[in-house]
Amino acid sequence: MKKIMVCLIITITVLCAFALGIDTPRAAEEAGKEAVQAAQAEPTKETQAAPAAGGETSHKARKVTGPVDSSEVIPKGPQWLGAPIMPGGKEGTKESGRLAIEYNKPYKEVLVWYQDALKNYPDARYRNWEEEMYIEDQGGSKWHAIKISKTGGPNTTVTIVKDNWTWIMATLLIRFTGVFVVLLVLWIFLNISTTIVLRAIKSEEKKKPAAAGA
Amino acid sequence: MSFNEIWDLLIGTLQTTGFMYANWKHIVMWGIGLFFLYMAIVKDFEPNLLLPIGFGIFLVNFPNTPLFGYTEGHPQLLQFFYKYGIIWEVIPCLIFLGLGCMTDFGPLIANPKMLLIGAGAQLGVFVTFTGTILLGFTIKEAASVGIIGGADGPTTIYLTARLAPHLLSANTLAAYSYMSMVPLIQPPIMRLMTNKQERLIKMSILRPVSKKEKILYPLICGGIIALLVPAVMPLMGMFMFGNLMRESGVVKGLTRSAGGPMMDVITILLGISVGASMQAEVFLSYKPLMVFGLGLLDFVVCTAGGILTVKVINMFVKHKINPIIGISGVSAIPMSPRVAQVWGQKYNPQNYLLMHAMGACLAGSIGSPAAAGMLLAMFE
Repeated sequence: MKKIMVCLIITITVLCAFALGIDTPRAAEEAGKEAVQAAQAEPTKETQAAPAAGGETSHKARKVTGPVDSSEVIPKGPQWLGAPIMPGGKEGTKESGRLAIEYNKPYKEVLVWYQDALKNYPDARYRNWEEEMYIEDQGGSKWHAIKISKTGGPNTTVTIVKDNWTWIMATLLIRFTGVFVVLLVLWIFLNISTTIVLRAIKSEEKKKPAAAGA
Repeated sequence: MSFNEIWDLLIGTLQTTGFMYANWKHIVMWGIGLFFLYMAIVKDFEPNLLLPIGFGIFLVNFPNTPLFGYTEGHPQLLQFFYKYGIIWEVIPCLIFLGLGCMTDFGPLIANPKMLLIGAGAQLGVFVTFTGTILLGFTIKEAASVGIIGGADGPTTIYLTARLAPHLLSANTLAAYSYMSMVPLIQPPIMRLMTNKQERLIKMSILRPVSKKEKILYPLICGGIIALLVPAVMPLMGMFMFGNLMRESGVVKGLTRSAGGPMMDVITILLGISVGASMQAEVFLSYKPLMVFGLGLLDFVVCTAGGILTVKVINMFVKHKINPIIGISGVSAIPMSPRVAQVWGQKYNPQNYLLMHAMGACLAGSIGSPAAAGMLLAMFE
């Protein structure tokens, strides 16, 4: 058994080493790419074909090729970490994991532009919150979210947030706790139903000898 | 007939064979297929699954075989099984129906505390999720890889088909492989995390469970899961439906069919479709290979999570639980409870852990879809 375990561990280690050698982690890859970039490359053939593809063909293509990076499918123009940047804005705060841009344009106009820019990106999830439109990436892109804030009046602020560990760890903790909550609720209801059923059985058993005696 | 005509005929005939298109990747995949067949036939390792999977791998990795592609837009034989069985998520749900018909939830109803072990054993799902992202996987891929540790094949298929279909074959294979390796993987972790005194804790015999309780269980469990984690109801709904058929006792023929012949047919379709999806071009890349490494880590952490949960529970309860039972928090039925029983008896021949471990394992079979539901909720 020990031999099998040793072989198994060696095989797994070799596979991991092999895999790590081929692809560097995404976070490390992107460490030096935090500046606002102008997309200079012409769209590839695949990128051009992507919007045309529809229905089952595109569905099949995704299955084979895996996740898509938004930078491959958004229109030509300025980007940050592969997220599109609407032209005509004024760069506000800029940190390593966040870029804020202010626009002297109404919220709806900015929102329509971003929806159009991301229309070919299948992994963008829109959440219409009271104060902002939260566009979350669930695919292979390096940005985590684009927040389009309803600041009111003619001004709109767009904040692009990089993938971050706070979100990953927080969401995991919440969901792991969630599993406990689900099973705890089940436990409580099982206890209640067991108590009720056992009481019913006991009372039935009590009635039976009484009826037999009568 | 001129020489050129004969030459063209020969070349044409040769081009319809597989010889012209075979490459080293195909040879590697034949090796993998034959290895699975060897494990199933010679070593008797999960033969019901490894045999069809192995033969599926072997079949589709011959070039020019019209098995796993499309002919004029129509799916070929194995592609047909794969598309309508796995991508459309029919097979995992039918497996759960069959499992429901075969499962006695008595040990869990008699000792519902075990539900906590089932929840704790999902630790690996979330730890691996984080590790997988570190290694460059996307969030959806990480979620699909994370669920492997729950040792729940149908749930793994269900989640992966939705979130990362390109990893389906690797994830399914990893999940079933580690399920079959439970006797190798779990005991060392158990020995590492427990001391002799803990392993000697004697468990009392469970109370008998009435038929009424057993009939109520699928209704209560199904209702609660439907309210809290509706995303996994296709799986859990079928599981509870199968169990209600079994416990009600009024549809014995249906129960027998769903738990017997139907399960056999589904297992054949599942095995050969999963094997067929392992084509050289898709499988021999770094991500599917890494899935195996991460899956092992996942399984180890899930096992450790179950043991840790028992230890935490023991801090608060009067009647201590033997931590060997914790290894059964993953839903590898019946392998994991058997391992717990064997190791429990090694330390105390008078100790019968099987039914308690079955309870924990059944809790895991609910915890794992619950975890999958939590992950699905992130993306849907």
